[in-house]
Amino acid sequence: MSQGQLYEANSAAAQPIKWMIIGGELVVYLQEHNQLRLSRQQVSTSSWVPGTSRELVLEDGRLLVCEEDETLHTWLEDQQSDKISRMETSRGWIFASIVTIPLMVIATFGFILPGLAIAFSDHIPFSVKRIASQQTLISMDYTILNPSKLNEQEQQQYLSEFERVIDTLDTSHPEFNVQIRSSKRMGPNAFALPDGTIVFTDQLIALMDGDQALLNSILLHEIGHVEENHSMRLIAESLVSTLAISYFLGDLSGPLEALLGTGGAIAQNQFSQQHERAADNFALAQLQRLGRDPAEFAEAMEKLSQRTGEESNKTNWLSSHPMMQERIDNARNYPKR
Amino acid sequence: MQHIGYVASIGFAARSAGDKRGCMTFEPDYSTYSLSELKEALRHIDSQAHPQRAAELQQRIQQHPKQQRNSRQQVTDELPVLRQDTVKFHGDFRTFFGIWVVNFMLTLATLGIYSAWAKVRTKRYMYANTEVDGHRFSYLADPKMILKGRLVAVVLFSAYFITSYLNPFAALVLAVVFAFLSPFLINAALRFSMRMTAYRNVRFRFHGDYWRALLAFVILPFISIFTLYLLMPYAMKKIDEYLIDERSYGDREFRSQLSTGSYYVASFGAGLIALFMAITAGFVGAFSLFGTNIADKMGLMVLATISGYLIIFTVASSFYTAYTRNHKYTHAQIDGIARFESNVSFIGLAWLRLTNLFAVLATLGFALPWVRIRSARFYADATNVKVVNDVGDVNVGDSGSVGAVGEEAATLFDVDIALG
Repeated sequence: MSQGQLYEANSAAAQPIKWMIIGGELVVYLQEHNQLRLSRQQVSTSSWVPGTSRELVLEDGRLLVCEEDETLHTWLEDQQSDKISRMETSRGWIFASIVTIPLMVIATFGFILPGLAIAFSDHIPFSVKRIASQQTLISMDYTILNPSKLNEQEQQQYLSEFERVIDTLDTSHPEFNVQIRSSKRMGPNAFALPDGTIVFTDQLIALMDGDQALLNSILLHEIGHVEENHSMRLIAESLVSTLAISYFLGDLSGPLEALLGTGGAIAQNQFSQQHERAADNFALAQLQRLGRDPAEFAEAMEKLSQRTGEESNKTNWLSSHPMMQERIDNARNYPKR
Repeated sequence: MQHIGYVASIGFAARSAGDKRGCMTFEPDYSTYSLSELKEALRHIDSQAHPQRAAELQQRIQQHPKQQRNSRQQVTDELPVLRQDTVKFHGDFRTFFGIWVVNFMLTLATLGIYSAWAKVRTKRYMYANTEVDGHRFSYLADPKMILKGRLVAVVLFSAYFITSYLNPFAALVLAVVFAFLSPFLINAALRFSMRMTAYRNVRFRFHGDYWRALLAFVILPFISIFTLYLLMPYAMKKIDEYLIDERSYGDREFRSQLSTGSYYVASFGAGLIALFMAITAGFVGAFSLFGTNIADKMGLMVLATISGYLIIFTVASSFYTAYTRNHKYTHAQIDGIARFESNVSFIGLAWLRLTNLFAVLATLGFALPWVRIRSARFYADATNVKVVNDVGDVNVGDSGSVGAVGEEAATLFDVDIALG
């Protein structure tokens, strides 16, 4: 005979019991020689978790907790639920899990999720990108961007040159629209919004000494970001990785979570590094196609890197732009046509 | 007439308006009085001139819920302890590792769908191996409800994430909306996790309402920003008070008497520890870099900074956790049933957490089940339950159904609700 506890339905009252399976029935021996005879249909139970007692709910809501026991498992047997607990106690399955988990983590985070992110981001309609870009530019104009200090004529000159470069492109993107702004906060910079709006700062034009060839090579780099839908991809990639990290490892606490946060930031920087390389290569290929020298892009990068000061080689896994030197070398070594 | 003078001296506009009516008819409406006002009125009333009113006041004071609460609290405090013992945790690493690893594998293989089942199975193992006063806990959640909750949370979170990326203005609006939505999520999460926890076939419950949660989780922390966070320990105390006092076991309420001072000691203590460690680490770092080319050591420095931050955070937060947990447990009770005691040592907890962190990193996460088991054992050993009455007298109280949506949404949105 095995031990157990019987709990009342409407209160925390409990009594110790003994039980036994006799002739296909669960016989529960209560105090004072009372007993309960239960058929399998009269009790419901959830699937067994190894290392726990069995919890049987009676029809009237009383709860019977019985120590784990082979005869009881057999009596309660439920093919479906037993499968899991058998796996959880099987050495083979445990070993197989240890081996396959790292593989599945790599497959999930390395291929499946980025693939999903790209598929998702490529299906965002242009109208959404347009609204998003307009809103972003409005809020940037309100905060960190000021109107260009260049006069109308100078601006027109740069813009019409940019226009000529854009006209020579063989592109699937509906339109590109270049704008010039001044920003002390951003310094020499250019950025692309997902709808094809590309913004140059006065500070960048000044840094390039107004050299149109260098500015064109930067324009091509930004067009590369738009062509490959990088801003949408970055959103989708960071969304998917954030979701996956909190989903799979949701109930961690404290320092472990802080660490995962760092991991997430590194992952995101990896994504943007990939994007920068892709945009560089797009620009280089276009320069080559237009019969220009890819070294023009290298020169532009060199000017930027002198200005921003060089980061060290060792921290590149933490930074969002690949090492400047690496990018410059890549451009220098790119074959001319 | 005496009570009219009292009204004037208190000077509540609303109350005196009501009492003007009382004056004219000479029938004050005591049912609108608060407990302290009733007591004040009783002290000032001329009981010879108005014997019925004095009697009514006395009766109202007796029957006032707050008064009953106070006297019940005293009773629980004074009841002799029938028996006391630490919480016992019976889980063992080998069994739990099997459960954890197989369930995690299935979660990955099903792209996350199975995670709801994995969560329920691991929780059931932990609960069923936690023993208090000779009886175990049960975790009753249905995985399908949790899966539904997770799906809703994923959709909500994605919408929030994408919108805030695409439109900076909308992001600002959404942040405000989310601040006002979070009390709802927190309450839903707590209601769900309490309802899914049972002990001796009686479920726990959570009664918190929106406004009290808003005050504790949003308004007070927000105000404290403008006090250079000096109000934060008070806000933390309010949060803990809310988490404890709104809980019940069957028809018995939890209640606490927390002191604000303890939260200031815990916070400033943790702050000082962090400061001391940061200064020491700074000196050691500067000393070891002396005379070397900093550019060469950049990667090493970044690594040292991250690990230094993790260690300091772990140790300092352990002080806070240990101190406030001990305070909370020692000053909390379940109405007429049990009192608690907690003896978590700061050094013990800091060591536990540092070794956990190291083990998880060194094993690429495979030590997580070991961390769960040893942490549960650590907390169980440090927790004492003093039973003061027959637990069998507790009734289930009324029941209502709750969904898992709130809980899952709360975890994804990173609403932090530590139930210690």
